[in-house]
Amino acid sequence: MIVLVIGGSGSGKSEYAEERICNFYKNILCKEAKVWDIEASNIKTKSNRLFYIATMQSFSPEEDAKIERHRRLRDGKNFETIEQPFDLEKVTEKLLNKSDCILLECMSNLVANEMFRDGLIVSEDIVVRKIKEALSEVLQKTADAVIVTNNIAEDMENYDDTTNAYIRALGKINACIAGKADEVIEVVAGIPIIIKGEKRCPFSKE
Amino acid sequence: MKLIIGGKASGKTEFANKEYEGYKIADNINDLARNLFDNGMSYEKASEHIIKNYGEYVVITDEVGNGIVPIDKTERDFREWIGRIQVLLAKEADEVIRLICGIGQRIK
Repeated sequence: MIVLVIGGSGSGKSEYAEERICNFYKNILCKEAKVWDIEASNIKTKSNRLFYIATMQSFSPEEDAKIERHRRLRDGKNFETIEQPFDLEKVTEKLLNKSDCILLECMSNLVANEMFRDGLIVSEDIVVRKIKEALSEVLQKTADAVIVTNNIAEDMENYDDTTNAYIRALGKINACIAGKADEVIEVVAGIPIIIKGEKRCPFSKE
Repeated sequence: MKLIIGGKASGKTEFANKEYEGYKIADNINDLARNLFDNGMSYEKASEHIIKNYGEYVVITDEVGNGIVPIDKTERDFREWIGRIQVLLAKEADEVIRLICGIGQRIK
């Protein structure tokens, strides 16, 4: 399964995305171990892993705090973190087979990091092509993937050409992932809205 | 609480007036929230304050997190702060309506 989770700042999208990937992972473990409840059986497998692909780079205490908040959120949930601010295709070296789950957080940082790399500005088309190819390689090697992205295109500012190129690049990548995804979920005020997929949302936080 | 959320000019007020006739309506809670934010209140405290005072209201709030991250730190912080308040208000509310193009979707 591929699930794309989109939302604005502070919308609760990360919490939702974590819940989804953890459920996928748990289902895989249960299937492997042939049990209904993995927590009760306490079985660990080596062949199925849960990866958190972190794309955010920190340049300030504000970003440190954000990263720390995300670390706290996923504490104790069995995630192995891969820091991959660019060159997403390198993740495939760590994925052994189609039995791993990944949570990629988030696409908006990855696109920005690729586009504004080493003090240069990489063109929109190159960034879009590179990330699409990398993502397709990664998705071929995963069992389940949840990808978090941002809705950044709904304000009224007039931006410069570079920012507009960034908005377009992310928009194109989002649309591409949404096309391939089994589900696209928009999170509004912590509530998942199904944009694409079955009319059912297994979110059981309450 | 009934929570109505959507972008600016998406038809929230008209929707509230039409669908929730007879209810007390707290329009544009973002303005009130902004005052609390400017006074340094945490988002947890601010949402408690709103729930305490407007628990029986139809509360209308602007969705503001769907754009480019603002350069100004205060604006950036407020955007995230109000987003987290909206998550807490939505948890509290027995109904949440999301407005786009004047069309309301009951999302809770």
